[in-house]
Amino acid sequence: MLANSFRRLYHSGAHVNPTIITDTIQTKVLAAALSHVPTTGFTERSIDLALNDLSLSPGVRSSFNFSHGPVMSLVLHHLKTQRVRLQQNHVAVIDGAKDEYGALLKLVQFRLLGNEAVLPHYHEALATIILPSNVASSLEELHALSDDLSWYAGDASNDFKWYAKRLSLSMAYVEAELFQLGDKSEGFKDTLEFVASKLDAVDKCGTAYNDVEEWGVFSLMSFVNLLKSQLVRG
Amino acid sequence: MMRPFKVFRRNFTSSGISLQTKYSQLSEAQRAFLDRSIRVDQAGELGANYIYQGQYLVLSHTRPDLKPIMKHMWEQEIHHHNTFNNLQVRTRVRPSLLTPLWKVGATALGVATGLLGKEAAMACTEAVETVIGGHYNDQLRVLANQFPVDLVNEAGEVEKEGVQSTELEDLKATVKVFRDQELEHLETAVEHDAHGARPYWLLTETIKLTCKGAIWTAERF
Ligand SMILES: [Fe+2]
Ligand SMILES: [Fe+2]
Repeated sequence: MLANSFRRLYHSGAHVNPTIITDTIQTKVLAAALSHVPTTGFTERSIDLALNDLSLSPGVRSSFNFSHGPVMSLVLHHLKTQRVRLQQNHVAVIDGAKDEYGALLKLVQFRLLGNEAVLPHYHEALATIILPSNVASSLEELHALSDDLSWYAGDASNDFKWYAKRLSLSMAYVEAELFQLGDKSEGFKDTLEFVASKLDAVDKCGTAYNDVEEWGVFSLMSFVNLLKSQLVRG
Repeated sequence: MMRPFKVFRRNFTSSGISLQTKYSQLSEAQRAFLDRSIRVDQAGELGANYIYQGQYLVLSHTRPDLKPIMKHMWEQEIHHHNTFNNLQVRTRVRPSLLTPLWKVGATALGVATGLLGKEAAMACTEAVETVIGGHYNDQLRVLANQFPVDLVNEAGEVEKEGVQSTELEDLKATVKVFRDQELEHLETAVEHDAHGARPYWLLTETIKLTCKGAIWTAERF
């Protein structure tokens, strides 16, 4: 399962790279639906409004392939759109960063700020991604994010540290999003500070793990359990 | 500390292609093959590096006369290992999950065969290089046969069919050089009495089986 979540295939420089989001009617509708999420949330209602925006008949929906259901597809589209935003802006975002850790922090903060518009409804998204049938694709997307962030930050690890870094980053990121749900501070100042302290710990851990290389089997389910416990409380 | 990633990326994009044309997309199967190949080659070269390290550790004390020849082979393995480390980072392939295990296993194999003596150490090299040489040959065959692609322009039109990207040509050239060096190691081992190891058959066949199992595992985990 661990290896499957890290299904990151060879990235070519010379060949046309497959884009994260393909250009289909379905993705156009999901993109339009995202603009309704701030008001109508991660719901089928947002998708219906999007169909209306694009002057498509509601019957078009039956031709869509929502492999995990419409709501999860909308959530995944938000997550992938945010990864595209990172892909397009990462060079400017890390400008002035002193080292890999500094670059990573800037990237993660940039990513968290991308949640701003949908934050009032973000608990719906989190509740959707932890449904048992969605866990596998949620983790794949989470690790795809960690891998992108690590790559843009300049990670060049060749051994177990590669896993340690990404798993700790995923964990820190999930904790930061949960923190962000309740953050009322100006411009999410508190969330940005929170994630800085979390990543500082990751930075130190990554080194420690490489030294001992005794990390053992990391349970991916701990992400799910963390989310569940936090959402029940919230 | 500043990471060397900027250097990596500059090399990677300036692989001799004009800005207007690109090689067509690799299929999922092709990318999966390259993903597995880079992971297993990296793990294999890591193994070779650590085997020689283990053998050198022992033999440099017991057989100082072998130091130059061992050092030469070990240095080539270090170069192979570094090359695949760079490739793994640049092409964003995940390293083998079992990297710590490969390090321990390869060091143990190196120390153990080193302790058994010169002949056993050479028999180990012979067995390892037989498997690795065959593995690289299999890989080269697939790279030569399964990777012709189209050259497409910005509008997505095919400009030229059945070409191979410089990126893949470079990979093939690298694997060819390494394969030849592995076979040189094999010859060196035989010249240095690998066949005098006792029990020769048991030792080499066990090591060959171990290597094949490790290849199978490292491709997947
Ligand atoms: Fe080698
Ligand atoms: Fe070799």
